[in-house]
Amino acid sequence: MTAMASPSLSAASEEQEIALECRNVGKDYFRHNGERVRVVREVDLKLRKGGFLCVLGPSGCGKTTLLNMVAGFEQTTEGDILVGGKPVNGPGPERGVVFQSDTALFPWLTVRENIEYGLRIKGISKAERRKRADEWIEQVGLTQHTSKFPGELSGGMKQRVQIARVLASDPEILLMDEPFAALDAQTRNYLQQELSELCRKSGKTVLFITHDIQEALMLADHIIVMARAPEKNIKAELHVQMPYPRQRMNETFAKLYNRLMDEIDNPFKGSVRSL
Amino acid sequence: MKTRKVTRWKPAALLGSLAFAVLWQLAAWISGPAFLPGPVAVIKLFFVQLTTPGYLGTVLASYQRVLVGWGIGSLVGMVGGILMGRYASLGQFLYSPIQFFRVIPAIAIVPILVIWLGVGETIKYVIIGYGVALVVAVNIADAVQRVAQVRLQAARSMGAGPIRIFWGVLVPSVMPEVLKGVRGSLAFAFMSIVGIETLAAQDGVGKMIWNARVLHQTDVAILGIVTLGLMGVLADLLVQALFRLFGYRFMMRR
Repeated sequence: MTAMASPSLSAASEEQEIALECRNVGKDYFRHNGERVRVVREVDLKLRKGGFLCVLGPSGCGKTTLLNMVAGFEQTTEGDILVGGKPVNGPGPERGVVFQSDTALFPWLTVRENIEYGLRIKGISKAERRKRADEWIEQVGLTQHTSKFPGELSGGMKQRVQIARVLASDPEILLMDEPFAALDAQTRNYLQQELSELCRKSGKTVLFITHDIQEALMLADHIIVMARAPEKNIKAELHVQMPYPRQRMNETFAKLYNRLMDEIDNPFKGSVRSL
Repeated sequence: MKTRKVTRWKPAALLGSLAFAVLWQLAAWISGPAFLPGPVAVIKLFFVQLTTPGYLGTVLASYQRVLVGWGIGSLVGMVGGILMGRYASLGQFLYSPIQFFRVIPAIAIVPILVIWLGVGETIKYVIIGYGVALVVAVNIADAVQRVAQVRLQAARSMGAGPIRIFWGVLVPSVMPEVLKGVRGSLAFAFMSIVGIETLAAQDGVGKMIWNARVLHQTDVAILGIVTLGLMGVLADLLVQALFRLFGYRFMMRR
């Protein structure tokens, strides 16, 4: 993999419909002392319809901020974000967000009621709501837990509810901010496989934020490596050709893993002296 | 937050109550019933009084004051707290006055309120409501600010507008704190009632306790105290039952 300039994406993706495009996106924050810090810098990216793009990077590289801007929770300081060709101006139901924290669920609503929430806002009839919710409940394997409250579920089950809640509203793009980061390794593996399958079946477009190289390699057809300043924000990118369902323990996977490992910057590199 | 359950009467709790009663009875025997009437004497008096309209009227008068004052105070506190939490500038605007009034006990404002409002029922509601509203408002304002940002974002990204977010997400999110605050402030209401009835009432349990002093009726005074405790326990059980009936989904663990 070479750290190629981001606009030169493969010719194949140019022909396909673009679901999400970031053009020279930048974001400034002010620190407590008033100092201006640029967290997201000159980000250009294109996500084709039906694609699975992972943004991979260490904490503090601005990847969550990027997702928040795409979601419309935060405004860009610079540049444009286009979803389906239209500029993003605040949150919208065509972009469904899955959060890392399960506090994003509504603890006073049952599993089914949580999943119906977006449909209720859209004004969909009760019978139709229930039908669609139950379909997604089955898809994520929670049929036994339909009338439980989130507080009665495990962490993995809660993330399944979040995923079903978003998918039930049928968004054009799924925005996922490290949704499996707080889960144990076993559950995380299961959910990665299930998500991958679910996305391929439904043809959903996904923007997935993670700091986990294995996770990116399991899920994405396209990986963007983000780095902290002063390095270029999009440091490298990689098109993953491995067929789905993917396996961790093979040579291609290991090679790609090592290459990405080298690309991800370690802020403490060189600070540990050899004894 | 864990689902709240009624504390059950476990053997140890029963034993504790018994030990307390036995010690009390012993102390009563040693000191003589005129100085300290024992539990048996008080229970006897309780059953005698139960049949008199005077005692029941006294209890009902106090109960009505506590419940009305507490209800009004809770409502004002809830609305005020949610608004203060939601609109930071309002919270800041009210911060100093609230900190100021928080340390002033209800009893301290009784004299001035007697001048303004007289000694009718209004003053009782105001005094009880005052303390309750402050406690509830401060707790809820804090809870509103601690509502998970991602939950609000999730609702927004699913297309919820400001009104839906307020009523459908913010208010239910703080319901556990509302219920906790409202229940906790019930004790506060009972503490205020004695003060206000002592100073500015013709009847009520507070007055009954205070009047007992004049005739040296130690048993009546203690019956008054016991009555207050029983009233509080009963009201708390009632509130808990109501919460379980109507608010169970808001008491779910997060």
